Amino acid sequence: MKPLTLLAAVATTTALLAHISSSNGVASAAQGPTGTARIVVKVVLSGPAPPAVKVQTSADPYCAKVHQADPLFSQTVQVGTDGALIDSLVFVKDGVSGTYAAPKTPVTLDQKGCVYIPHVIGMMAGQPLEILNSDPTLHNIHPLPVVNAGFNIGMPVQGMKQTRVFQKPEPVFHVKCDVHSWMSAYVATFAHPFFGVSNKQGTVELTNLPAGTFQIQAWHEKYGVQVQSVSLSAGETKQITFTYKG
Amino acid sequence: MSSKLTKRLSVGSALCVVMWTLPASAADEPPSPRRGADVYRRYCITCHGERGDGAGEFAPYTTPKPRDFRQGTFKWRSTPSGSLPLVSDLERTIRDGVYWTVMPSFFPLNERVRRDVIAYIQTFSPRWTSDQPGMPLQIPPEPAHTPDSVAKGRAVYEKQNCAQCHGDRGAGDGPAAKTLTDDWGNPTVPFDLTKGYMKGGTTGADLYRVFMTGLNGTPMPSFVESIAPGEAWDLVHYIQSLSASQRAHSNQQVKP
Amino acid sequence: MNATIPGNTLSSLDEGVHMRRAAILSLSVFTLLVSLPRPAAAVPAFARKYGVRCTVCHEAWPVLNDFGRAFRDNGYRMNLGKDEPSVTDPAYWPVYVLAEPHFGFDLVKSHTGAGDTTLQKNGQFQTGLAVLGAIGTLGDHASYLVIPVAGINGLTLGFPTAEFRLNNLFDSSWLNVRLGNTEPDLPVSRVRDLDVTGAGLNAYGYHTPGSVSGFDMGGNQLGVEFMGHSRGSRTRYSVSVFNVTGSPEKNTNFNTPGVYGHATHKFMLTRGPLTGVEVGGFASYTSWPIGLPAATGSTTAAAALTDRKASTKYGGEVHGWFGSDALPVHAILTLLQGRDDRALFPGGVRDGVFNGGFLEVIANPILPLVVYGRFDFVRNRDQALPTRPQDFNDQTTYSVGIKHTFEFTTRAEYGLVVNYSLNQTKQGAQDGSDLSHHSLWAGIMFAF
Repeated sequence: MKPLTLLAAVATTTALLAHISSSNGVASAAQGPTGTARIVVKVVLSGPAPPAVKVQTSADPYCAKVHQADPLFSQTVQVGTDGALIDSLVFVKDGVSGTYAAPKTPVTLDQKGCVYIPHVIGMMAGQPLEILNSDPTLHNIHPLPVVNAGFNIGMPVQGMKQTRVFQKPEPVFHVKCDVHSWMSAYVATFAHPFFGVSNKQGTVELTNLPAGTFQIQAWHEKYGVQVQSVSLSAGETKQITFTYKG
Repeated sequence: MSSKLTKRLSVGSALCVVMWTLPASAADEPPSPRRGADVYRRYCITCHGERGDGAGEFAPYTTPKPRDFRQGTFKWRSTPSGSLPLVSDLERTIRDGVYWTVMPSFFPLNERVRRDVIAYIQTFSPRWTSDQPGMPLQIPPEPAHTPDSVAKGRAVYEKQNCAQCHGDRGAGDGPAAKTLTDDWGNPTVPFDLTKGYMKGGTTGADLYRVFMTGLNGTPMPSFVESIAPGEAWDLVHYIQSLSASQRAHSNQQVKP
Repeated sequence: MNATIPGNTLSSLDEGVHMRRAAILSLSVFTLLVSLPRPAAAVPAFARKYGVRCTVCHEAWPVLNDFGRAFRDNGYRMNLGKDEPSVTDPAYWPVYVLAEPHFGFDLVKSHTGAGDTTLQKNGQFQTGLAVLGAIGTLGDHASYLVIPVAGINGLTLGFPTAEFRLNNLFDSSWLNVRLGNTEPDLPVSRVRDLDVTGAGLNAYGYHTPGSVSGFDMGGNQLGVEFMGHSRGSRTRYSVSVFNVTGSPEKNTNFNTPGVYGHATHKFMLTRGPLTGVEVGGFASYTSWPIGLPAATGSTTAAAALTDRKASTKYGGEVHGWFGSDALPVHAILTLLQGRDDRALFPGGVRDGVFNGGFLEVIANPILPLVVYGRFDFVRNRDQALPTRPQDFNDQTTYSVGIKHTFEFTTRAEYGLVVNYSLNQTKQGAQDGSDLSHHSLWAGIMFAF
């Protein structure tokens, strides 16, 4: 082979290899679009709110003591004023594509007063989850994902902290504490940043959306899943409501 | 036939026989899932099921349930909590069996049989192709088994709050014991540490691995974040002392 | 159940008479063997107890594989905390049933230069029902086995197979003690033999023609066995001390002592088509009293009975396993030589010596299917009686069979078995002509 041809071949191969290795493993997909459109979502429970269920915490003396004066109520159905349904996860199910960088700031999951705070978490795949034990009793943090790798770590010491990362996007999965069987949390990981959990007013704001048509899904632990379609032009704000029947 | 020809034929056929029975190369053959499938059908299928889902013919009649291989979740490992086991972890489980369960010790079988069946078991879960096992636990050498060590171990037992599930004397009667469920939703109980033999193996190192890596798929967590390696052996000694049985004190592997 | 193999003579009567007797007796015994199930072939109770099916312990039911042999050597225990009666499900009964309804056909011919004569030809359906056995664990160190053999019409024949075994004494697998009436630790077990026609394994019970010794190495012997094995039973030894079954009436106890020893080692291979090789050696030394049985109370004749003469057998075995570990081809070659002391032969001029053995090949190409064949021979080397030609009563047996299991569960197993055997005995007929015995067994084996 002529030296020049050889040189050209080597150069091309090297360039190709460099290009392949420099891309971050994800096939050169475009950076996902963002914009200034917003959807304000309200999640409502119609009909009378079910009675709050008190949780028995006598199995652990610390938990019993904490909740003697301040009883613990089940987090499964939490209803605010005017039927606002709290702790409902709302997110864009379809309509966005592309990669979005996961933030480096962690989401915190605290084990405090023998409950998980918060009860429902939406986070990005690859974003750190900082798990904290604020109680002077043993909790074990035991998420049960199907797509991601789970774990089960004992956290017997008050103030213990550990950080874990779920690398892959995954629909809602359960987190439990085996020591305290009433403790329950839910986590979902997303490939994009367009999600939120309904607050005490039952509202979620999905911001920085690009123009387009989106499938918006609401998930509730007890009342299930609902989907709505929303079309947005650039910079537009729309309001939608998910109504669950009690 | 001439004697020369006869000689050549005999030498030739002898050589053929020798070469046919000798290994083709110095290295062991790679494990074969195809041969492993034959092994599985002969030995494993009545408990672990045709689909590797732990729902074999005998599964309804035994507790704990046979392993469901489809999630890549395994109890007895040297890798971190949530991770796939090493192949050597699976080999150990198959070779030694699991005491107090119907999982037999397949030590009498050829080790190639075990390797082949592990290769077949790996075909039941896609996790073996998408994930890698984590770094195995490094176990420091065991210090002397002294009363002092046992006392220190008791302090560790209290600090880690093992009694929540295992009870103050290790009998599996802690306050949280009654509400435990495994990953598949089956009710389960904390191990009674006074029974003598441990399930995951009868040596101290096996016990060390249990609480440092946790048992995937069960409520038993890993305490690797809160127990220092130096303390861990003390805890092993303490747990061994909970059993009245002489055998629990011995670090000799008692082999079924 | 002790079988008298063709050629085994009973007493020093007129040659012609006893040959006729021998022929008839062996025929009847053969027929009987054909209709009776084998005692401890496979134990479905274990399948129920541990949730395994027959293939886990049996390479090719009823031949044991490595796992089954280790289980048996451990005292029928898995040794994983689930064996004792106190932890076993109370609904579990350690009893099992073997049934073998079949069609049996026998054809016996004698051959002379002039032609063949059919001496017997009969075929019949047999119920072959039923062996009821109980085997299990009594505790940490004890196990038991009781198999009363029931014949047709509920007759019990022979002394039931029964044993009590102390396992892993001093927490060591190297010392186990078994007391009872059981088969010695043979290279190929007669009770777990694939052949169902009762043919073959002739060398076990053979004695040079004319010997009064009735020792059958392959039959139950009442005594004690010391047995030990390494973990996984790769290395095994067994020494049995017993009173020879079938010894003549005696006034003194233990007048027919015998000892049998067997040691084996299996090499596991992890490369190449050969997956395992096992080598072993065995020997038996038994004595037999000579002289006529004494009348009760007579001391003079009793003294004669203490004159015991030795009958020995010694040999070796090689096993090879080829192909897949789970679906192997298993070949077994066993060779032995037997020697009976001259004094055991009324009119004998020298020790009687014979060579014998067998080559058996068992193939298990798919799990439900077993194909097997065996070539079995006995060749007399030194006849003790001078009038006998050297090949008098030489035996050759061919046996082929096929077994197809219809269903394997942890509760029961049943399958179709077809087995053909041909036994040829030189000068085995009453008129001195060669005898050939064709036997066909076709039926169902059912175990619960």
